[in-house]
Amino acid sequence: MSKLVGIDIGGTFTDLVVIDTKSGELKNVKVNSTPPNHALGIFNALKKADVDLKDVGYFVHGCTVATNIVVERKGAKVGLITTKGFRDILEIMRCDREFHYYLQWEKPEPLVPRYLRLEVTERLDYKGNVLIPLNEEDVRQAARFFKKEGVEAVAICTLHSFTNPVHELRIEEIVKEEYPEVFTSVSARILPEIREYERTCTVVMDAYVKPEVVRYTEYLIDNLQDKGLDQEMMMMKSNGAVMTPKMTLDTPIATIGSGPAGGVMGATMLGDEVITCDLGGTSFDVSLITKGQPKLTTQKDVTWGMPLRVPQIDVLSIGSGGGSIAWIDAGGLLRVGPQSARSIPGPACYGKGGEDPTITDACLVLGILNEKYFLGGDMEVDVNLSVKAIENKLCKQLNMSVLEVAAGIYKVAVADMTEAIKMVSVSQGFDPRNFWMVPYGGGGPLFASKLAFDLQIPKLIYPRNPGVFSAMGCLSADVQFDQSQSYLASVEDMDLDKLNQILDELEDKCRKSLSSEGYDKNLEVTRSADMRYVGQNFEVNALIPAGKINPKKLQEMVHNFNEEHEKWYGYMMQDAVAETVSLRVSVKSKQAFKPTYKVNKSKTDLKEALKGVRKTYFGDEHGFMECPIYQRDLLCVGHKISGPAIIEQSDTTNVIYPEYMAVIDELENIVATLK
Amino acid sequence: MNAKKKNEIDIFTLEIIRSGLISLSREMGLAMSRTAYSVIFSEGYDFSCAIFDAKAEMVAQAEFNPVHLGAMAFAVEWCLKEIGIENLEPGDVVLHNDPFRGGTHITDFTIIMPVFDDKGNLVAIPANRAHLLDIGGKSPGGFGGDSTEVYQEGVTIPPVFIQKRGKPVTDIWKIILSNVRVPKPIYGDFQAMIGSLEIGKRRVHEYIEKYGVDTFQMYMEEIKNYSEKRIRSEIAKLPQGTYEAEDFLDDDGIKAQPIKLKVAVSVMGDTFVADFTGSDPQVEGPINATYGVAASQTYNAVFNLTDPYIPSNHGCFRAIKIIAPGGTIVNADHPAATFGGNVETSSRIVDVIMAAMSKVVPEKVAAGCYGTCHNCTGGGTDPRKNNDPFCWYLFREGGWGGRATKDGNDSLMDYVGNDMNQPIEVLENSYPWLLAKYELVNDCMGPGKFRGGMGTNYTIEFLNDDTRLNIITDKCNQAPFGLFGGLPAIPREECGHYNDIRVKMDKDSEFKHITEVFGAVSASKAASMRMPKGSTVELMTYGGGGYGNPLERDPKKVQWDVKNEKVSLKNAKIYYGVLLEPKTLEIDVAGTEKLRKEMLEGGKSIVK
Repeated sequence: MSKLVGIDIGGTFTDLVVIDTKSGELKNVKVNSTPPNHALGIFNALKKADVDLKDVGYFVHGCTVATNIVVERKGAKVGLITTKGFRDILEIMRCDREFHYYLQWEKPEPLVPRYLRLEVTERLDYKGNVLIPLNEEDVRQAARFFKKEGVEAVAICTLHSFTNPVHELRIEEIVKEEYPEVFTSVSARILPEIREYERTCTVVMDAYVKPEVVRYTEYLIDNLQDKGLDQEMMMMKSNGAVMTPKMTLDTPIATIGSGPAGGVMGATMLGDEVITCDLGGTSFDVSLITKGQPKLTTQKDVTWGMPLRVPQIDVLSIGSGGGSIAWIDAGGLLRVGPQSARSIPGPACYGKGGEDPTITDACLVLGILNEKYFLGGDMEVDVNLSVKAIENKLCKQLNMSVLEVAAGIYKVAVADMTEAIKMVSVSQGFDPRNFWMVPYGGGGPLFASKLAFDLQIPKLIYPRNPGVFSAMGCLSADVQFDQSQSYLASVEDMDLDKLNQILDELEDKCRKSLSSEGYDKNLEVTRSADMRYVGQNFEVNALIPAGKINPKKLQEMVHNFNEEHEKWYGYMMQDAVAETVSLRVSVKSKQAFKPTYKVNKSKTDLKEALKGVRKTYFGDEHGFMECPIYQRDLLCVGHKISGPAIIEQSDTTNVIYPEYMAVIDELENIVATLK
Repeated sequence: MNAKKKNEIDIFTLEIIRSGLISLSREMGLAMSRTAYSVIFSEGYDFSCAIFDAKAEMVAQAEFNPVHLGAMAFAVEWCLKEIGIENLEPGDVVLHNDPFRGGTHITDFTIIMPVFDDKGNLVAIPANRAHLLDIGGKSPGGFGGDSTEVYQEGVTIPPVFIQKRGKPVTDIWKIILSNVRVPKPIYGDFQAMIGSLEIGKRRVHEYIEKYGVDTFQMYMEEIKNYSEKRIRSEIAKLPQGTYEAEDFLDDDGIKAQPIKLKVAVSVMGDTFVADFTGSDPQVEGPINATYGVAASQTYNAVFNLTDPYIPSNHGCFRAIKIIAPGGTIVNADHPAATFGGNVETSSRIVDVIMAAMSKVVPEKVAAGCYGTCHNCTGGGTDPRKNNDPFCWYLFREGGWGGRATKDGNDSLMDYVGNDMNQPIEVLENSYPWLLAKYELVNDCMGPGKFRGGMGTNYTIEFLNDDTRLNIITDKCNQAPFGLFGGLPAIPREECGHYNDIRVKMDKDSEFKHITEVFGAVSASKAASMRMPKGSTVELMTYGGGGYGNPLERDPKKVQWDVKNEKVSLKNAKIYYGVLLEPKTLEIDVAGTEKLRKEMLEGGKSIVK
């Protein structure tokens, strides 16, 4: 039972990491993902890594099943029950368009067609008082209709239910009586927060993914147990925590968008103030870790117009990945992405029929990537094909040389990535100079030191295994339970008893949920409030101090809010009265272990790791430089390398700019600091 | 390879600065919406943000509100002209709202903040324009449907400093805030606007630091040239020639008489000319468009007809000429009333250009849009909140016209704006209202091979006793048009209206038109209607026109619409010639074929 297993399922690959806590040995494997049944990929990976499930003491995995269901629109047949007069909220949406002037644009279809959206007589006012009692017969008829229609899941969302769930809960009871086998999702439970479209959309998405996620989870658990797993299979949530199978079955929506969570949590092991940069084949994902915690958001859309208002790690994703295509727009400017050559046909250099030049092709031409050691030599690539693609598609039109154009692609890609990092840092009141950068994914370490230099980030940590960093990160996540409740109250005349009561109730719910799953040790409670100045319509999340809230602590809360407001928007209004909108509590059961591994290599001479020298492009400021190339496997703890340098390993290429000095740390990470 | 001369354009840097300035404008807008006080602002997104260069020419804008963006260009120019560049200093903020100085309507405020380099040269001007809830005038929230001059619509503020060298100009603030009904939220909204300009300023300084002033300015110039090049190459692809069309507004709210808009669109090489000569003279009521509105909406139509991805800026404007004779409905002279010009006449300008171009680029146009912002404003005091005064502004979405290969979209904001609706739960918290319904309207869409989109019904009950209600809408009497055999929107059965406003004065009475209850001259425009506690207003928007012969519509699509109660069985038959088994909704294939054949041969697009 000494082994920890972390698995990350991506669109292309399934990564697995096993750590033997006794020997400290770390093993990682990569296998192809196997959609639609991702469980197969897991079993393949376990087999390849030679893991005996009987030895496993902790098993966690992150998967994109729920995200894919929504993006690909392959979810369940859902029925929606709502307040009389308001069944079209879901289809009317918010009435804006994705583009200003795109006459041929099509509004997304609702996840539930109109004939499956049924109204029941009931109404609450804005304070949650019952104006019209629930007509139970309406509910019964709706449930019977859904049964006849073969609806698999029923979503329930009525107006103002976030202030008083009484009608929604009764509706669920009746639906269950009439149609016991159907799945239900209740908005007051999933997202008791104001704004009917966003809440409806969120609860509908939960219902939409539920049957498939439940099938997948149950299948996986059954098979893992058959093969000897004696532990619970934990699942990654989009907020960076993990949850037990029971929690997954209750709120599958918590896994939507959980893809990037593993990597970000991995980075929390490396520092408390970190900017994470994950560069894969199709996208560049950035996020911010502050005070050891990933920054969360509740303002995310899964796809355009499909908001998911549950707390998720705030990851900004732009279409700049290794496969992103460089092209010339109608005005003659060079653009990079968001179209990607993906893995098939892939960049031109793959020789699989791809004719469009990509970021990867530019990096090969510029000497940043090594033709002879692509994916550790596992993959043959041809730089001549890159040159040809750049020549054919770009050089003639731009009237420039291949090298000039390749450098241009690099420059534009870097600018797009820098802009993304600024959006998550500067734009939200964080100075990147106070952060470290952790790059991962196949391409992160390629661009990181250029990005860091442009933003004057003083330190970078290149993880030992950037390719399976997310799988590793899954292991470091804690079990956590979150609760929220709308509470609209001005701080001037706030009923502190009521405030304390709600906070206690929320905390109690979290603790109960955790302890019913056997997690009652090492608990850590975080309380916060979404606040705004009275009259504003959007909120900023501010920490609530621990303990019973008295007038002094309330002042502290307001102070926290003022500071956050200033950080985000550049000003605070101390004269204005603040109010709370929603209260949030999360309780975390800290992991008993820290996933770490042993490094037991005898010290060698740095010279042995030096593979040679090649001409490499280091941005406009340096141009091409003679750059020493090192082999990462041969580097040892304590080795020091001054930039410019390239450190190659099978799953990435680490580029160190001339302004940085790199050292290999105790866990064989490369730590580069600004000279 | 880096031996570029200092004053030579590097296309990679050009792309970097170009996309950077757009994302900067977007950042300004998001910060502003998140900090704003009025629901219309924060939830409705009724604002725009852009960056101008030292010549007051727009370089970059973000995707917020289309009608603001073109006109804002003129407003910034006015500010510089009137104040004088030599009088601007770092930390200044200039504000203005005059519709006749590049404004749109009087509640739209433009503010600008000049940004200087360390030698004191003006480098760039972040600017934004936002719709504020109230600026005095006789109707709370503006939109007095019976206003006859701009003085009745609110207080005009010419370009003035509201902040000088970083310090608020308190005298001006006092004047503004004593002339509005809801000073608190308006003050908060101004703070949000100024905060967003600060962000713009900070980012502009980053560019100056990185590239140097001369280089940065050179690239701003080139960004405009880039857009000009793109739009010209798109315009050149349109068939050369002159194409005419006419369209009508219902009335001006004062006289029950339709008002004509006429356009002759000429594609001349790579220049697009919209000549509105022959449009009706300006009118007494509040639907006169200013030149800024006519320009914005012509740009809007051209972008929709060409490439939606062209970054719009001053460069595009060079390729588009607008001939709008003074004293007409599309370029009214001071002191005409203009509230509705920006939201109604503006919509018709896009429609009439679409109609003209439909003759030569049928694949690029759409049938008639529901064609209004369906503005409903008002105010009163809130008994739930110590009788605090409140004002609101609602605009309503509706159905868009069918297109060559697709149905029109349902329930979208008019071409004029790209604003969002305001959540019911937020509105019921903010105002003493109870919504009775918010739903799509069945059977209103223009039938076609590709049908028009659906409008909505939004019904509000007032819980306070002193509401005053103002309405400016249009296309109550004129149907959104169909194209190429597609039919216009189907009129409302009980009254023949399209977009509609009805009121019910107490719980037990019937819905009636405002003409019957308040004696309004127009069914679509009125002001200061007293609504007692328990009274209700029904705001209904309509469907778009259809595109192509409805008898060619895939019967399965008709069946799906019937299943979803969007089209009735009866209309499936009489407009589409599709027969369905009433219980199971199975298509009667043989019967449908026969009926469609008869209808086609009989030359009928409708059987009754």
